[in-house]
Amino acid sequence: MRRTRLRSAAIASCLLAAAALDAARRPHYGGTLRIDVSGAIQSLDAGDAPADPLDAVLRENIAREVGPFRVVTWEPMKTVILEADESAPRGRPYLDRVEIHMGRTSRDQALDFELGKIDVVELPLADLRRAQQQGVRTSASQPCEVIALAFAGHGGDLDRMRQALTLAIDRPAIHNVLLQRQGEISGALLPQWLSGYAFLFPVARDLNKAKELAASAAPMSFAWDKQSPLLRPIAERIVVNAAEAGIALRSSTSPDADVRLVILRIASDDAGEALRSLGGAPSADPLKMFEAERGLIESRRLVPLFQLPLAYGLAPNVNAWTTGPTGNWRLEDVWLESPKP
Amino acid sequence: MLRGILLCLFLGGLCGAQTLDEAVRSLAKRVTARLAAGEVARVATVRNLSSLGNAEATRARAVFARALRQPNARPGKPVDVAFTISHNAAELLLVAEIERGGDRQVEMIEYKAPAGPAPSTHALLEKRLIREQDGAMLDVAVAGDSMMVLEPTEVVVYARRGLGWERVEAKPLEGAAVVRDPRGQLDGSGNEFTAYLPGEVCHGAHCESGGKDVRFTAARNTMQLDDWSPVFSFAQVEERGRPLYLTAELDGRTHMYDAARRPVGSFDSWGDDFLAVANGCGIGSAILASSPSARDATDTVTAFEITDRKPVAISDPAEFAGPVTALWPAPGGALAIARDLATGEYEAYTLTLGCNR
Repeated sequence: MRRTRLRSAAIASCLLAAAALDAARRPHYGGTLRIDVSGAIQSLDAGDAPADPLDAVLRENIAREVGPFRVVTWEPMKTVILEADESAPRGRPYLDRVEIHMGRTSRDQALDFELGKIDVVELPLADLRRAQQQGVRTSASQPCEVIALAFAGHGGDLDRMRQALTLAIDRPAIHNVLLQRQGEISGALLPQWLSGYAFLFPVARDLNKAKELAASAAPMSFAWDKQSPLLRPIAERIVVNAAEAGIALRSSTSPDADVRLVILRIASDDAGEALRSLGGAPSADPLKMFEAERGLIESRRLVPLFQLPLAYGLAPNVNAWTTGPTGNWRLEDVWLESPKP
Repeated sequence: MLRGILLCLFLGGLCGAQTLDEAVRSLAKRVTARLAAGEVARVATVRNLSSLGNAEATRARAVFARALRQPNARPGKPVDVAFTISHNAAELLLVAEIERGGDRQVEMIEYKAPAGPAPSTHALLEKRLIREQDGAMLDVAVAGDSMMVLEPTEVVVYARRGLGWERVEAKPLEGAAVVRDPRGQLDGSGNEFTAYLPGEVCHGAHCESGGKDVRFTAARNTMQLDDWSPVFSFAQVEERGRPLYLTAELDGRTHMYDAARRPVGSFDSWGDDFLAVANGCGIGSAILASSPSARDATDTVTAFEITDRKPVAISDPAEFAGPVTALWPAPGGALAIARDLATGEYEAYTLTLGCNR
């Protein structure tokens, strides 16, 4: 029971109440839910598994919905239309159709939402607070993405530089300003809500020690996805922080750069499974899990920086939209309220 | 001794269950095992990152500090220990960090807390629990020593045995369609019954689709009434000797229609489930209505009268630990089924409207 309650509490805290409290409570059948997403995928074939985490989320979400819904239109990288399966095992979903418009930029999405053309849009984390202040209904998952630095090699100098850069980054400033305090500062791969021990991984800044370690260091190449509106400002701030410690990071587009800023996905709400998907060896013993995660960070030469949620903006007529702990949709429970007179 | 062991085996998890104090002591024992000769553990910091209350956290800290103090220990070199009460997706996690200069060792232990007391409800409208179960109930019919429970795909028959009910048999409803927000009603007694499900009427185990007796729209959660659009609920009361109809419609509002079925008003203060019952104070009909709360919230049922075409509460609300999923007429009042949010169980209650003098 306690397990259920704690789990429910952990999950419930991520499921921002999307249902309007003044709405009629019994769900309505019918209607088309229109969703804009920035990700774009070619197909659901296993061979087409995307590398980009957002595309991976989208692919999993669509794959999951094929069950209560059926795919009736598939335009690769552009549009997917799902239709309610009248004979779905748990009963027909409330919605008649779901239209997913892929490859929509943040600007496209904002415009579509404002014009009422779309019911659900992705919200950049930096805009989440402002959207809420403007009265937009929002929904956010638990932290389910990790922003981390990944180092290409190891050995005396590189290990020293990794330590120096870790100590040089001003995570609170990035979290407060660029991320608008969304998500969590973290030195762990698995988020605190999932493992319970993420707080054990150090995150403190120590510029003096960073300077000491970085003395007479050679410049390092630094790469990130230049198209990502999330990563770009964070990468720029890291370059500034590194310079404060005497570390020169030179922007690069090479996949073999010395340091890369990456987004890793938490693929499961089971800590063991999530660690396994990141390459670690899970255990039933939490202490061994902690040690395995620490070993994984070391062996993959990672520096986790932030744990971030996925956020969505919802039109007023969207009810029961929930985002699972790993950012997954649950469209089968969503229903649209009829317009009030 | 043997009896004690057998009792433990019989009670299973109960004997194996660990209290929070015991878990904290186990953690302290692990910390102590890490100390070298001449070292003494000292609780330097305590953090509570869990949902555990302050009182319990303070107690855990005291138990931890006490457990670290070894009996007859001589003063030694202090070693700082940071004690953290955390939780992961499933359990509480008790963590100790042993600090020696720049070196740190970690110990942790999971704690599976026993179930807490179920949330209580305070009934102001007279409410009596008649059945609770894990699976969904759509309707319950009690007649003498027999009870029938309508579930989405079967009717389960129970017989009274002493103070409880014993399951006698389950009668599958052949061809019953699965609906996401299932609704249904049950008429009958003994072994004879008629079950009304979305798009179907089942006489005994045999179900027929369509027909004039169908009460619920096929594959939907709305009611199907002659000459009315689909509604969630329907009730008829009297207004100066003439009928006044109330319908819970798909726009989320309760609409009123006069005897000629002309719309005469609407309001949004009720939920989607209501019905007319005899007013316990003998002045015509009252309406029992659920609240317009969300489906993931607690719910209430309140008695109302319609005065000047407005709903006026005439009772305190009867509270439920989760959403009311069905509200049907029953002998002497109504039957309410609610899904308890904490346990996930469905609970069926009889509701009777007495006169509150």
